[in-house]
Amino acid sequence: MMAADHEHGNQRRFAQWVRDHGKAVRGFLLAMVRRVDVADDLCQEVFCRAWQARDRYTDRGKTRAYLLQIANRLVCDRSRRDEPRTNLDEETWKIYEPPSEMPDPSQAAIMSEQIGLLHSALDRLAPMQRRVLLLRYYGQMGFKEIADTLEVPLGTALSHCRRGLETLRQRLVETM
Amino acid sequence: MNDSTNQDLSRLKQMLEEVTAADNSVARTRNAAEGVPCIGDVTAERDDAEIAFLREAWLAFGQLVRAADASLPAMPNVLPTEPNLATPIALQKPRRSRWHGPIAAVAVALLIAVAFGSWISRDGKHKNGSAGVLPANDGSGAASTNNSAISAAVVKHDQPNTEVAQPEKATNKQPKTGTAKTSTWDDPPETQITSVSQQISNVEQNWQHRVDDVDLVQYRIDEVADSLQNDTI
Repeated sequence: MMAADHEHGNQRRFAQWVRDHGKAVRGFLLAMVRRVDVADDLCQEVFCRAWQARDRYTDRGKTRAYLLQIANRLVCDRSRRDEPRTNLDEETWKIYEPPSEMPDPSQAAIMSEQIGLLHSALDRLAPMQRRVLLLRYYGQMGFKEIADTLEVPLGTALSHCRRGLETLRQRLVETM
Repeated sequence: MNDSTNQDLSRLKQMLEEVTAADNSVARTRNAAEGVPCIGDVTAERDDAEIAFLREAWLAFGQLVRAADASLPAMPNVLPTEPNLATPIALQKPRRSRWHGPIAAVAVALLIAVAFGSWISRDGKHKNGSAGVLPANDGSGAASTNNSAISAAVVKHDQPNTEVAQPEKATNKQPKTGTAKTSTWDDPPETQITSVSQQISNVEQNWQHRVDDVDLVQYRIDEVADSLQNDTI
């Protein structure tokens, strides 16, 4: 009986997480991987992992940061796993990667001017700068926490943030 | 040296926290507390040309991200949104095959049958002193006869002519299943299964007879007890 109540509580908490943080996690993932279908898959994976670890999670009011840490790890894993594929030519790519029903990056860019602008701005950032800014924006994480998540010294995280903002300003403020 | 580095780091951290604050209220509150005037969205004092510069970039970035998020297709409804649906499909345990249960039951039944068979054959060997082949009826027959003898003795003491106490009758109840024989290790499985099933049926019949005999004895004991109680014995 108590176990059932506990599980029910977990389910409610989890549903609340999806409602509260689903969009932020998805936004972070989309900004990192630039493909809606991949971002959605990873988003699902993030919540699946959070669900699997629900009994080990201690709520300290930083749920979003926790979810974004999982998301960041998944993005890292994916980029590490997919790295060799980026070297394939177009024909070989088509053999291994069936056409997606979701829009590809170029179609996604056409879909919205804002998305295109955002992507082009993010393209100018180094991966680490992008991560720092997105974790700060979506997760509202402190810089110490960001540094821990990215496993870099605090000074490095701060430098990435500063340089990323400088790059963004050059790009965005002039365009907008 | 170390102190100055730490100070720089701390200053940079503070500045970036201010720049990337979620809203301007953080900067305003802080500046108001310090007596620093605010101009629009960004602070214009301290080393604050830089803060203003970076804050502008941050706000533009936020605006762009919000616009991009708004123009995205809706999030697919693959994630649970209701408490009763909150178990993600990917996490459900794979269902066990529906054949697992029956197969396990048959296997267990076979094991029990074989164990019974071997027990019966060992029992028969002990009783008969014969090796290899078990006359399945003999052991139980002997037991049955013993029980009948007991009941007969009781009846003889009580009412010699009572029909339920006839040893012959009890003996007549013995099943005619003496054809069962034990299997050997090199018999084909069908033969072994047949043999085991015959032995099981023998055991069941013998058990029934034993139960009957015990009932009979119990009945006679009750009668004797009644007689004792009524002083009619």
